[in-house]
Amino acid sequence: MANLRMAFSSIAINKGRSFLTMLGIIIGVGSVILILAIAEGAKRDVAKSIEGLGSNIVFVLPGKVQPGRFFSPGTLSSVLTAKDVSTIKGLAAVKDVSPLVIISNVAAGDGRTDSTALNIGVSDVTLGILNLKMERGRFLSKSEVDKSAPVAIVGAGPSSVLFPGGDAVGKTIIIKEKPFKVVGVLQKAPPTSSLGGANFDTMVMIPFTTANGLLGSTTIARIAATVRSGRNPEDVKEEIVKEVKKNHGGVEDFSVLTQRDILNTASRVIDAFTAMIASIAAISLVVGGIGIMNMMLVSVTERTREIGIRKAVGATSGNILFQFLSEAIALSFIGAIIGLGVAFAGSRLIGRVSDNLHPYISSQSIGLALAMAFFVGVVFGIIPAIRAARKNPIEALRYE
Amino acid sequence: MIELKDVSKAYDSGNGKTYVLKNVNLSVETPIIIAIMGPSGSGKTTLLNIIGGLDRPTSGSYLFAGEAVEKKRERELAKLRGGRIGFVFQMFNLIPRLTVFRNAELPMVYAGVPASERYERVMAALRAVGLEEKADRTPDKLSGGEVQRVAIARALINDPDVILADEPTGNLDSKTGKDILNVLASLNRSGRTIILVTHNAQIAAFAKRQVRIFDGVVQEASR
Repeated sequence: MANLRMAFSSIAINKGRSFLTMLGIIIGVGSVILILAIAEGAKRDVAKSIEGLGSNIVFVLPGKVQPGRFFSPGTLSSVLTAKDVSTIKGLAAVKDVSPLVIISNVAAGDGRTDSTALNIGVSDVTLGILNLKMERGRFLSKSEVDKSAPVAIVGAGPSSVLFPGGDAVGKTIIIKEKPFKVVGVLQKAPPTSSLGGANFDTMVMIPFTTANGLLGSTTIARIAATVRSGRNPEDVKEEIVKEVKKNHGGVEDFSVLTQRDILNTASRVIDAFTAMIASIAAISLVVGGIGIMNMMLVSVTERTREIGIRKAVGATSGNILFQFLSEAIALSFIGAIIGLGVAFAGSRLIGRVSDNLHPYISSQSIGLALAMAFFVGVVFGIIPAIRAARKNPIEALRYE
Repeated sequence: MIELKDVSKAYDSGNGKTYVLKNVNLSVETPIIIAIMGPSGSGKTTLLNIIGGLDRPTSGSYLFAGEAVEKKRERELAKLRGGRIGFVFQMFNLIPRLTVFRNAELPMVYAGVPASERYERVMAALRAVGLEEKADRTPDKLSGGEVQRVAIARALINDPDVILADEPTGNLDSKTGKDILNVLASLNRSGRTIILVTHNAQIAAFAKRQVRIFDGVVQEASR
């Protein structure tokens, strides 16, 4: 306690110098916490959008995705077929099933093009499976899907890009040089709604049968299914794996992901990126630590006589070591608290300025910042403190 | 109380050893005022540092209250300095950024006296040296005599048996110096041993016993 009081008083004596010393820690802690806040915000956004799908959804992807590993979309070592769709449809626990066919072409209409549009082939039940709502018009009908009708549903994005200020329903859009009549517009999803980069707002949906004709193949990119209420998605996942495997000659060359799997995968990807960027930012903490060491070494030299006096009146070397170590830790701690303040201010600013980033500072981040400060203080304060403690009291008392 | 037997302090210089103290024998019973006199460089400060547990003899033995000081560990020496011995320096040696109160309190902090007890004791010590009202000032706001009185209050705070004063009046005018000597004399009357280092014969005359030191060799001088 007395040590802490002494530490703060000697920091206060040299306010300007102490502040400059803390700057490295302020920047280091501020940037690490801000990066973590942005990542945490992104994770929450992703979680929110994935939760928006509903907990009863199950996705089937070609290729084996190791649970928890990097989310590799569509490693096309294998394909999903219409047979897999009907196999899944045949399961008692499954409510609705929809194939999803990806057409990698730009959508055009009214002389404009939308290069960000994601064109996919879907079925008439996809709207319910993906938990989407119509803004205007209607969704695809069963007969349109059965008859490969040239009709399309547009998301809020392509709708405003291709037909700014106008109603898209009834208009014609061009995909792969074929005309499609727009029969409905999707309701704008909440701004947080993004699924690994694929935003439902950017979608243009056509019947999957039509998409197959357009591509000249029956390849299915994904199968989306919903589980009947009261059934555990994890159990249904096992069942799907078991049954679809039979279609693939007993080889599990596809993946079945529940909402929980997608959530885990997505947050692991974010975590990996965060760790990388945050560790780069953490370098400035090392620089800050060196700054503290530098100032403490100067301070020890300047206060040589004080050390001598303290030893003469009964301080042990341990007392002196602890005093200077406390001072380094206190410096680092104050820097970390200011850095946290900077991170809070920065995350508020980013949240206000940006539409896509919603930084969130978790209590773990605050704990981490304080732990980092303690660690830096100890690591970089120990050498000056040892030097102070080792001073010979007689020589120290003679020091001018 | 204090018994030095054949105490020597030597440094390795280029050609052999240089003796600062050579076979010093000194026995001090309490309570007394003893003056150690000698020209500068004679080894008197080194002798005082050894008596005070700040320095260790190269050879010989030193008993303080029956305990062998030269065998004590660093921690035990610190405890001796803080608890049973009080230092008063020529250069005063207060910590400039601490208040009078905090300076006088310091030995109690290291002796582990609980904070609740410290306030009363600091104020009593400052009262004893007549500086109660200046407890919240920093040393730069005080006169030389006042600073030295704070140093004496600090030396007294843990109720030591011995006070070691190294040229305590060396940086003071003669009147203030006399005041400080009177304070030391009253401490002696209350049962403490005062060991005074000086090169000033007038000040030495104030002591009941005088010891002369020259080139590291001690001679007893009778009054």
